[in-house]
Amino acid sequence: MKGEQLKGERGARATIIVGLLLLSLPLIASYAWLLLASFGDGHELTWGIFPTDYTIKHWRFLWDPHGAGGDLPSIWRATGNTLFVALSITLLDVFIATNAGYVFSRWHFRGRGPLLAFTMVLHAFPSVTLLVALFIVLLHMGLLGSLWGIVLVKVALQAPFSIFVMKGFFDGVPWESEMTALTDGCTRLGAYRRVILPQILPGIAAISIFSFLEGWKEFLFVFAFVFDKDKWTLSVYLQSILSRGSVVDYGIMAAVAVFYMLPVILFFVFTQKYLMKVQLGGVKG
Amino acid sequence: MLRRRPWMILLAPAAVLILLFYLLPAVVNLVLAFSDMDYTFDFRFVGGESLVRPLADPMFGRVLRNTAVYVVTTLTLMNVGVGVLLAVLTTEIPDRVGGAFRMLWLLPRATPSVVYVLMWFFLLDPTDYGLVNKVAGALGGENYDLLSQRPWLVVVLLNGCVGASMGMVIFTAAIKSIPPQLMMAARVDGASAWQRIRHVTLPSIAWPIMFVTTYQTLSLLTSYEYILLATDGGPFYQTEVLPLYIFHNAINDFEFGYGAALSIGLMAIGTVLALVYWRVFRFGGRGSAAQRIEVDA
Amino acid sequence: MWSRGTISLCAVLLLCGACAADGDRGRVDADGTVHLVGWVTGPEPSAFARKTNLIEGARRLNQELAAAGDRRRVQIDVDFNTTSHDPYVKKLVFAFAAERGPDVVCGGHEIVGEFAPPGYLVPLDDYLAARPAFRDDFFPVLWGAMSWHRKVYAVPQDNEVRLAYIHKKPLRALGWSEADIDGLAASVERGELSLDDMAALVEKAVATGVVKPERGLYHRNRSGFDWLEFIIAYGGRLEEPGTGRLVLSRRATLATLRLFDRLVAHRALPPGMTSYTERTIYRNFVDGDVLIWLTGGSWHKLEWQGAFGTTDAEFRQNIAYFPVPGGKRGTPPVSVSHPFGCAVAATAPDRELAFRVIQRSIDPDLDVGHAIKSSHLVVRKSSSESGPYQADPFLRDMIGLLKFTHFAPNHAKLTRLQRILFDGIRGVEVGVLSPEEALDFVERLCKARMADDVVIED
Repeated sequence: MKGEQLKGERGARATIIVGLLLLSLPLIASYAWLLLASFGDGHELTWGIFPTDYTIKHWRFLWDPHGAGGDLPSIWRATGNTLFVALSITLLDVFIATNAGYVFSRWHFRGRGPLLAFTMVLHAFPSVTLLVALFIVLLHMGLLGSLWGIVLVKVALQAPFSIFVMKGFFDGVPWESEMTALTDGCTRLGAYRRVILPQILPGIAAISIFSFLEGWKEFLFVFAFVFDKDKWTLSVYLQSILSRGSVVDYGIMAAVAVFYMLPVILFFVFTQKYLMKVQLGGVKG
Repeated sequence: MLRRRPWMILLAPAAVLILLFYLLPAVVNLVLAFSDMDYTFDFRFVGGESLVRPLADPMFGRVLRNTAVYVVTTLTLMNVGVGVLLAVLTTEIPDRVGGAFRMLWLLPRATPSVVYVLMWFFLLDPTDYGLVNKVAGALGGENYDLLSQRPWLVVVLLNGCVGASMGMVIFTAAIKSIPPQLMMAARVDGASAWQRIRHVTLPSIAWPIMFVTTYQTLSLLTSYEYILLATDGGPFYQTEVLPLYIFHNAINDFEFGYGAALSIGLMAIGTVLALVYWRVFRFGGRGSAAQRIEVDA
Repeated sequence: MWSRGTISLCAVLLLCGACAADGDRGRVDADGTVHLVGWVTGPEPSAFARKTNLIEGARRLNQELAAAGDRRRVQIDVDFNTTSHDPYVKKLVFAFAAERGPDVVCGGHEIVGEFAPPGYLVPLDDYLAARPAFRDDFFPVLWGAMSWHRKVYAVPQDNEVRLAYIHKKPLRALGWSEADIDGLAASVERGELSLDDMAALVEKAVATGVVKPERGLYHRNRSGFDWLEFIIAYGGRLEEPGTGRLVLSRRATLATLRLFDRLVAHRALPPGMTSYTERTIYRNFVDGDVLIWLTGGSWHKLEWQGAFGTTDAEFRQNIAYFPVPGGKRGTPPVSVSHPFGCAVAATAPDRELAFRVIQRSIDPDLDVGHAIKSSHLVVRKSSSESGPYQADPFLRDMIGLLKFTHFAPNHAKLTRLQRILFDGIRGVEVGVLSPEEALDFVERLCKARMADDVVIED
């Protein structure tokens, strides 16, 4: 019976994989096209996706500052800026959210319910209108023109979501485990590190991916609040190539886009490997 | 004895940031709604004039209808529907393969929006160059112009492919947190895959589903970037949703006061919805499993 | 949680953040060096001379200052914008509001309409009055485009004309002789071909199968000045002379809407035209699959050569052009120009020097150099007589079109009116509105969104 069960399972798995492939077909086609276009020469495409000639000239911007055309800053500068923004947001957000999430989970203070509800409601505020209001606020704080302003704003906007998610994960850790560790002689912090942390790592992985992505993608705030090309992030860099209102050079666009996505892919792989590990043994109860 | 201070310290950074960069601008926005500020950033108080303008705006009703349709459709079909599907399916297969699919579905979120929309344009180009038309042509069909004939379909799919990944990530994290003993027990009991999914996997993501539903309702209610790039609300206001409408008025036309007034309407709708969800999903009553025996550190 | 790795990462980030210091602002040094910041826009790389001319202008000015024994020197940093004009204007709005705007600002003449009213720009009449030879060397009509409320705020930088392009391949297939084709432009100029005649020609091409359905005529996919051409062609006006208010001309608007309606009805124009990308539009036209590219500009030839590698010979062989025909037979054709100009910001540390940089940047040789490289038109009479400029037959023809040209009025709400009009056209094309309903829509929206800034007349 076990053999049959295994075979059935393998068949089911194969079906699932085929199903997922079909579901993901538009994405697969699009990203294949993008990747190929970054190396494709000329306008002709066989089967609508495959270029007829290949070249690496679209990747010139890696070593030639004018490789992407026009008067752009070096892409490495833009990448550095974007990394700064995204990583700062991620670290700050994880720090804030784990702390606040822990509090919301463990401490029943008066007004906790409404405060939590309020945190959710915050997400109803559209960023587009906040743009003008934030401009005014940042102007008076002297944070305009600086990437720090953008980091702080993005963390504030991301925090409600992250706090909520982390609270949920903290809720999933039974008080008993924490209690046991405490009575075993750990300090609160020790209990936190040894018992709770491993079980909320998937939560941290989840919110850090989103924070990183939000920081990496941010366009509108950088566009409106930053005035020097030296402080551009990759999203503004890309927009300045693409919004000429004329024929888009798909090659350069694709190359810059692929370059843009690589760090995100790396970050995702990193979080998957290191943060998604759930302790299999040693979980009591 | 309850010691409040450590708790307050832990909450402080979050509170300060949210206060300064979320609430303060919201208050500023509220004040702006009583003005007719434009690109000169001159503040001129006009009372409730900006607030009643939406009612006199010929397109406002249509915009509201569009928004409702857009949010409901994208949420149920893609953000939650496909999200759950992806999470459940990719955790049933070996992790390498599942992880690869999850990576693929995260790409739209990682792709700059202008590029992402251009990729869809490549698929949907109405002349012979579009991939969809190439396939249709190979099968003997005619050219489709989905962007202008079925703008809703395009907008929902486009946004949904991005939105589904949030649910997918959260649901996957929740599924992976299921104690392996439970899964093992179900298998040993001879449960089929479907039964296992129904009785073990799905319940474990019940709360995440509620959370994602609430959160993504608000996200969809306030998102406009992809619609702006793909159809710009077009071809004729068919896909003009409220946040895009606000963008058009506030940023394109530089009507900051009017935009602030419109956004108050949007925030009001969002707040009401959030509170409704709050009640229905009983967020307030959940998670009180952890009992508070305070131990002084 | 606070592993060493995380802490070191934080430290690195903090350091990087500290490097996010502020850039130069316009200022005057103790030794008399005046630092200026200039913003120009292309967006296309071929217009890069807009930046280099300013820098060269500063260099020449410094020579002049040195020769005159003036201890001041100008040092200018110029930023070349590569996005389309709309985002450029938005960037300027935020920069000016934050008082981080440039000292010299160059762009389409509508920046005068946008930024003069709130006082961000400086009137230049006094500087021009002191230099009559300089002022008079420009084509006089251009100064109008650079003015707001009868004061001049910008010096013209370059110009272009809008026109329609027609592909010869389908024309030949329709039985036109080379002589017919070559005489087309002249025929339009004499008023022998109206917009309706043009539409009939396109419809015939589709009906006889010379081009595939929905490939008769393409137009641009976004709002802009081009749509105003049709209002003018059908006899409407754009501006009320005394008050400077914008005008919505009902009859001309209805005629415009009807024109596009009939084109779609005859399957000459795709209903989803406005969702096409530029790449698709141009490729199909340049390949000869579309008869007319209606809302073209003098820069398109260069753009196509850059994007598709079309040679001059191929261009002459395959593509002809003419101004947008008049609405009725016997009325003159229409073109709209969108000249670029350079203005001085009110926050500039030394306004007169800023003006003089602009003045030197438009020296005739620089004017011509930029025009030829970017396929734009010169703005000075002395430049237009230059040999290399006259030698380019395409540019010569473009200059010839200038006699039909109009300028869009400088008004802060012009883009809004353009957008409303464009929405109406879109509504008609996708079939949601009839032309009459679209006119009603345009009127209602103008009243709701533009109130006292627009006058609605028959």
